[in-house]
Amino acid sequence: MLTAKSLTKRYGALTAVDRLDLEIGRGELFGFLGPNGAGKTTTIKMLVGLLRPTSGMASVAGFDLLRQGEAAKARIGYVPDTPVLYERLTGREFLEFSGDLYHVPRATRDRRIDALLQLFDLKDRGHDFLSSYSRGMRQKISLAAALLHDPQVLFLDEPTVGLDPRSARQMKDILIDFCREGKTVFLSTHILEIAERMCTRVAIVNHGAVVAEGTLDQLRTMVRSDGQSLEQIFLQLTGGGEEDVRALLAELER
Amino acid sequence: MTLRRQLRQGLLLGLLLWRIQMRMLWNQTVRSRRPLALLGAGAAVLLILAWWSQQVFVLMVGAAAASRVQVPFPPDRVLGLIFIAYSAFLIFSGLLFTVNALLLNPDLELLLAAPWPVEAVVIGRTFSQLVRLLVISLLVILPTLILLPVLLGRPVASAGLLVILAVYPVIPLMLVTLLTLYAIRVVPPNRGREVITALSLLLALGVNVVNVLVNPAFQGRAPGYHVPRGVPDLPAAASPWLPFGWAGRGAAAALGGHLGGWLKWTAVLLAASTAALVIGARLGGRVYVAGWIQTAQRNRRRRRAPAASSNALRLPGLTATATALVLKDWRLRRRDLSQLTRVLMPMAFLGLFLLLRSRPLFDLVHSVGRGPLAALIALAPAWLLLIALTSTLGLSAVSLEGKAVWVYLASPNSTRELLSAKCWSVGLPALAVGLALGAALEALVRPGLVWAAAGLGLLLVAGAGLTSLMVAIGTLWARFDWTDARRMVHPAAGLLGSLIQMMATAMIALLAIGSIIVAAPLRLPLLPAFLMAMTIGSGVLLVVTFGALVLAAQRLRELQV
Repeated sequence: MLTAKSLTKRYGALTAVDRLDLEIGRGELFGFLGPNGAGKTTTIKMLVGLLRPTSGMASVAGFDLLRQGEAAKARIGYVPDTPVLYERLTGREFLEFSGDLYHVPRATRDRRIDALLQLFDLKDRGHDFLSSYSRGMRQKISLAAALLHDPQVLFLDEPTVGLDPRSARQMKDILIDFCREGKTVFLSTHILEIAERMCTRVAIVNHGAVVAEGTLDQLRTMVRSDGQSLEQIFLQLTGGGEEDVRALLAELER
Repeated sequence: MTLRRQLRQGLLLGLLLWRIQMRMLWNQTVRSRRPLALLGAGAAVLLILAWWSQQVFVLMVGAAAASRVQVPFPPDRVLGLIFIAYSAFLIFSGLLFTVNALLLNPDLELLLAAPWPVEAVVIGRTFSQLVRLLVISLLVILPTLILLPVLLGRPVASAGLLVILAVYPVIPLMLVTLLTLYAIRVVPPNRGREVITALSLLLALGVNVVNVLVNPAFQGRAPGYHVPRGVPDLPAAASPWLPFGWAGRGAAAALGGHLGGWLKWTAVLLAASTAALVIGARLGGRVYVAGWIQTAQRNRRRRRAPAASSNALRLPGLTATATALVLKDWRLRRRDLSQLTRVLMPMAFLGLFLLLRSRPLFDLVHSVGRGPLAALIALAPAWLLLIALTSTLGLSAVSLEGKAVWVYLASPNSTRELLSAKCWSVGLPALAVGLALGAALEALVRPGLVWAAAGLGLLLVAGAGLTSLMVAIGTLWARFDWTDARRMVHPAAGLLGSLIQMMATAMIALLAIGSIIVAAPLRLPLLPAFLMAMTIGSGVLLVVTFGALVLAAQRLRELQV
C-alpha cells in the first residue's frame, strides 16, 4: 500500500532524511518514532506530496507520488502536526470545501460531514468559525477532513497532541477501526505508549535514517533483550539511554 | 516597587527588545545572504541617500532665497505647526503600535511570564517604539537637522533639536496607549486592527471629499488661480500650555541661539513627558494584564456564521473544485474587514468622484459627439475601477490561501486548476462590477448601440486578460506567511502589476485612438478598423498573460510547504 525507496531529502549540507526504505501493507497501523529533529515530519511531507524528495521514490496504492501525484493524493488523508486552517471558515464550511477538493459527490459529502461532526462531538460547533476552535478541536476537524473522502492511507503527524484523554481514546478507536477495514495508517508520535499499544509495526528513525523496524518482538530481538518496553528500546536505539539521563541529571545538580 | 526601579527595568527591557529587533533585521538582510534581501537593503540605502541629497539641495536653494523672502509667521508658530502634524502621525502609528505591541504580538506570553513587572513591559515596549520613531524621524529629516542650524550659523542647535525630537513622542504615545488599553475592554484587539483600517479609510475618504470640494484644480479655476501665500495661522500652535507649543518654542529657541529659552521649554517638555511615562505606566500596568487576559480569552469566543451550505451556491460552468475555491475565497474576503475594505475602497472613491465631479467627464464626452471616442471616454471610470479591483484582488489571490495552502497542495488537484479558480474568484466580481458601471455609463452617454457594445466587449476582454495577469504576478511573489491583507502583496508584485496596468492602458488607448485616426485616410470602415486594433491588443495581452500564467504554474508546482 505504501512504498518508499531510498527516499532522501537534503537542505544544502543538512540531510534531513537519508535513503529511507519502507514497505507498509494493507490494514497495518504503522508507527513512525524518533526524537525531535529526526526527520519524521519531513518524511511524512514527502509521502503525502507536500515536499519533493532530493532523490528516491515513494508510492501510495501503486501510484508514484512524483509522476502520478494526483492519483496518489486522492487515496491519501493527511493530518499535520499543527493544522493551520482557514480561520474565517466555519467547521462545516471547511469540511465542505475539503470534500469538494477531493471530488466527493455532494450528497455523500453532506452525509459524511454530519456523521463525522457527530463522531467527533463537533455537531453543535459546526457553524462556529475555526478561529474559535481550541487546538484539540482543530486536530479533530482536521482528522474529520482527512477521513471525509474515505482514503486508503491515512498519515497522521503527532495526532494526539492537544487532545484530552477522552478524545485521544476516541481517536485511537477510530484508527483501529480504519485499519480493520483493510486501510493503512502511518502515524508519527512521541508518545511511545500509543505506539506500543496500537501499532502493528514500528520504525525508529534517528538523524534522518531508520535505525530499526519491525514488530515489538522483532525490535526486542534486535536489541537482544527480553521484556524491554518500547521506551527502553527507543532510548537504546536513539542514544538517549538511562546512563545519559543520569549523567545529565548529575551535571545539572552540580 | 519604587518608581526609579520601574523606570530602570522598563528601559532595560526596552533596550533588550530593541536589540532583538535589530538582530532580527540583521539576520533577515545581511546575514541571510539572500540576494533579494541584500538587493532590497541596498535599494533602501540608495533611496534614503537620494532623499537626503534632495533635502540638502532644497535647503541650499531655500537658504539662498531666504534673504529675499520675508517669512510672515514667527518660527515658534511654524515649528509648533510641524509638531502638530507630527502628533497626528504619532497618534495613528501609536494606535497600530499599541494594538500590535501590547496586545497581539506573539511574544507577549513570553514577556509576561518572565520576571519583569507589568509596568516594565509597558515602559519597555513604549521605549522600544520611541527609539524606532526617533530612527524613522532621523531617516526623514537628518540633513535638515544638521544643515539648518549650520546655515543659520548655530551648528550646536542640532543637539538641542535632537533632544526635543526624541522626547516629544512620549506624551502622545502614552496617551494613545492608555486610551487603547481601556478601549480594548470594549473592542477586541484582533478587530482593533480592522477598526483602525476602517478609520483610516474614513479619514482618506474625508480628505478626498475635502480635496474634491475645495481643491482649486477641481473648481475649474486652476490655471489662473493663485494659491494663498504663507501657512495657516494657528495661534494655538505656539501655545505655552500644550506639548507642541513647548516643542515648537524650544526648537525655535535652539535655532535662534537662545540657550535659556531652549533649556526652559525642553525642561518643561521633559518633565511633562516623564510624568506622562510614569503615570501612563502605572495606570496602563493596572489595566494591561486584566485587559490582555480578557482579549486572549476573547480570541476563543464563539463566533458563528449563518448556517448555509455551499450546495445552494453553484457556479455554472465551473468544476466542483473551482467552485469550492471561489466560494471559499469570497467568504474569506467578506469576513475579513481589512480585505473587504481594500475591495470597497476603490468603489467608494470612484463613486464619490462620480457623484461630486461627473459633469466635466460628461461635458468632454458630449463635446466629441456620438461614436467610438465617446464610448471609450465614457468607459474610463469603469476601466479605472476594473484595474483597481483586479490589482487588489488578483495580486493577493494566491496569497489568500496563507499557511493553509497545504490543504490544497495535499489534495488531488492540479496547480492549473488552482490558478484557473483564482482567476474566476477575482474576475467574476471585478468584471461584474466593472461591466455594470461601464454599461450604466454607456447608457447615460449613448454613443450608439454598436459602439457601446464594442466598448463593453473591449472592457470584458481586456479586464479578463488583466485579471489573469494580476493573478499570475501575485502567484510569482505569493506570500503565505501573512494574514494582513496589505502584507499579502509583495512590493515587487505591486510595482510590476502597476507597471503592467499602465502599459496595458496605454497600449489599448493608443490602439483605439490610432485605429480611429488612421481609418479615414486609409478609407477603412471605422468599426472593422477598431475591432482589428482591439484584436491586435487582445492578442498581445493574451500572449503576455499566457507566459505569466505558465511561470505562475511553475512556481506553484515548485512550492514546498
